[in-house]
Amino acid sequence: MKKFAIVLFFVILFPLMGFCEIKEEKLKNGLKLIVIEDKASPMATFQVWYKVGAIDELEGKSGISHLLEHLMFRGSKNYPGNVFSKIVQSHGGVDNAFTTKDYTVYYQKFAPQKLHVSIDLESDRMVNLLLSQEDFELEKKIVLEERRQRYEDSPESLIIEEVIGAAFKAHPYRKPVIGWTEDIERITLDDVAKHYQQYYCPNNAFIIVAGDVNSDEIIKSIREKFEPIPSCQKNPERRLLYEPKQYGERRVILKRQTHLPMLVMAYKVPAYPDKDSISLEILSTILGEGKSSRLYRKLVREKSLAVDISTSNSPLSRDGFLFFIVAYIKEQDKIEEAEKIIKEEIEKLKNEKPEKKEIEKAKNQVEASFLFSQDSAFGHALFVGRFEILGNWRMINQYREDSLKVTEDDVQRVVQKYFKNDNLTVGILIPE
Amino acid sequence: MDFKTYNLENGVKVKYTYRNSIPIVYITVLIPASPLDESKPSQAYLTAQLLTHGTKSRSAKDIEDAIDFLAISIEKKVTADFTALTLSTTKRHLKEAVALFFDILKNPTFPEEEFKKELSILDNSLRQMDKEPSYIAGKKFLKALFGEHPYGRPIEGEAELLKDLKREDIVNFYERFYKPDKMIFSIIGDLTEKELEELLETHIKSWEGKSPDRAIFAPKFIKREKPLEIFVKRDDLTQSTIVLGFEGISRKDQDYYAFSVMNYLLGGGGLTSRLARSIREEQGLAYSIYSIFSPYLMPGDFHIEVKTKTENTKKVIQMIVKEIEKMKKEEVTEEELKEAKSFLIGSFPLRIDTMKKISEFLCVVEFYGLGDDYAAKYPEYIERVTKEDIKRVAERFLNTDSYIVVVVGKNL
Repeated sequence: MKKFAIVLFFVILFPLMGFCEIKEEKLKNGLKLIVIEDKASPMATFQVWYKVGAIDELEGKSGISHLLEHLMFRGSKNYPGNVFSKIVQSHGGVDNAFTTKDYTVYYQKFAPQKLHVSIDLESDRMVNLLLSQEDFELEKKIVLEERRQRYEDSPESLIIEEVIGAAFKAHPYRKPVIGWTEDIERITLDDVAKHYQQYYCPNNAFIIVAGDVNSDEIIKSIREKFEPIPSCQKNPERRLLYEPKQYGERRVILKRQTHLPMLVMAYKVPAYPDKDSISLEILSTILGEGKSSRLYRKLVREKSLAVDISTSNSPLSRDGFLFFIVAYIKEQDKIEEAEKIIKEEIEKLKNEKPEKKEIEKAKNQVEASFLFSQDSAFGHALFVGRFEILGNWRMINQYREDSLKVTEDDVQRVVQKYFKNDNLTVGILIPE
Repeated sequence: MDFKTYNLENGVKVKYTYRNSIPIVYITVLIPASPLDESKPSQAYLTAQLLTHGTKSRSAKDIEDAIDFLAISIEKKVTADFTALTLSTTKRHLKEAVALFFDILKNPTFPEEEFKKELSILDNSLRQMDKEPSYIAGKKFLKALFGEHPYGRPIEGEAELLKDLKREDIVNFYERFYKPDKMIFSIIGDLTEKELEELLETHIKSWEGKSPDRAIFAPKFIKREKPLEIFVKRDDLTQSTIVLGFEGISRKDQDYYAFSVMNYLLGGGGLTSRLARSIREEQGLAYSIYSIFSPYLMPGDFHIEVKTKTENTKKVIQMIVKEIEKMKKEEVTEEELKEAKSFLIGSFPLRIDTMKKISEFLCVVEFYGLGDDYAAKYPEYIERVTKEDIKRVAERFLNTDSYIVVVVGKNL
């Protein structure tokens, strides 16, 4: 993330019905536009999504997408110098960007009549980025400080990074989005320029606008500035993604200055459109989301072994990722017991189907989270974008239908299929 | 922003806005109770937390089950000046959600066993936070600035002091302060006026009770001859976390708006602020640097926080002090003033761009007495600020001689 002030927390949201009209248009150069007319919002959002993230990075170049994201704020041909945020803020807007393992997003939030500022700035930096050596060296220093802050000095993030690193031996998901320190130090300006040329193409991007806008007018304004940008001659190269079979459970033990020991269990799972990913979402609600979930009840309320426990799944990844169980354990000598109980709860689900009421609860949460996500134009746009990354935002409807069809048997089947030791990586953070 | 105000006979104020764009409803209640009213630390925080741990007719488990099954949320927020609870529910589950919300508000029982469980979780969480550099630096800074005043301690309290806390302390705090007469409600969403009337009749109008006037005192700031340096040694860290600050401004102060503009230019304006420009953008010495102020009922703090690798610690502190001095000595430029105003006015709607934000905003505006026309008047308040005002507030508040600086890291 370029800036530090805004913390984005992604909740997996499932739409059941939409209350805003969504329009789509494709420009001649392959750039797709998606406009969400949200008449209730006083502020509009403009987002440019590039289909590039850590998943696309070559060996030795981890963190290059994120470093480029930082450099995107350092000036383009018609807006030279470090002026992007200054221009946005002087028009009463806010801007930022973030890079994930699968994509990179730039955004502004503006009063709807100010969206022309976004259009001018984003169209220029899509094709005319300046990339000076001096800015490059500065942003490298800033990114290394960011890495120290977020990982080196943060044991809770570090253990997650280590677990992901151990879970995958070949797949690029093993590398952190921010990159390894050694890679960040060695990346050259030429590497970044090539990365920009290869992936920042109109045919590898899409734009989402959400807010109180007129679709036809905004599409016309976007077309004017973005359509002249030439598309890249070939589509960006996609790497062959694979992860060899895992033999045996993997373990990482990390000692750091912290108070609470942490237990992280990560099972490799598939992503959408594999329907198992949706059953795993329902499972996550039953197992570890909320205080009525099975693991919270058992470990926090009944056994008092943990201060907190939760689960998370990433069905909307570009490739299969991990189902996480994360617990903060009260005492170091209780970690083993906690792990044993978690595994017992998992075994229980393999042998007995979940209750009907648990499935109904999960579906109620599906409905509610979709409705609440539409309270914010920005959040709504992010949600739509995450489906577009998978191929087409209209998959939302299929996803909704698939979610509502999940049965007790589906949930039991995915537990049996994926929750095996040969699919598991465990991380333990121990206070030093 | 359109809303209606109802002043009920029992003292309750209700702000109501009808929005039917999405079938959801938010209800916020603001209770004027905070660490300012505590006889022991953690009272306000734990009282709010424990509301959902048992009522006369529901066990803690029942409540947890209902919240998750109905897919509602009840967020509890305790600030330096007040407590606020926000219910979020879909229209479909409105009736059950509202019944639950008023039950936890009016009939909590604070079971002993639940109290002990929550205390143990809080104890562990606080000890965990006591390992985090930003938390340590902030806590040491507030303590040095405010001394024993409630503004000088973390809202959640301190792990070492939890042993003095008993269930009765929570019950007493609830009995004293959770009375309807000073409560402010805000209700927004897909709920018609008729439905609102019904809700008021069933849950609020018949609720009686008076809370005592708040016995709150302004903080006494200790006069110092020179800067106070506090160093917390942590050999495991690669960065120093630096918090540098001093006495700030109260929300009721005439200079609040001039202070807001000044803070934006100094360190509140993201990457464009003077501090971010000089320390991050021009020299690459930090990823995060910002200034922030806490405009409470009484003067809160003002501080700058930055993280930089150990060897840059001294240099960065000097650069911060230099920027503060410059703000005191020289007027800001026309261009800076114009940009700051455009930003503060133009981005103001972001504070109320969702129903949830509006729900909380209306309660807070009422609590601080900012006026029903606050959102409409805000641009005018900001436009009025002049360069001279900014220099004057900089001279009045910015302290380069006897600030407090806390460093958590390997070396100074």
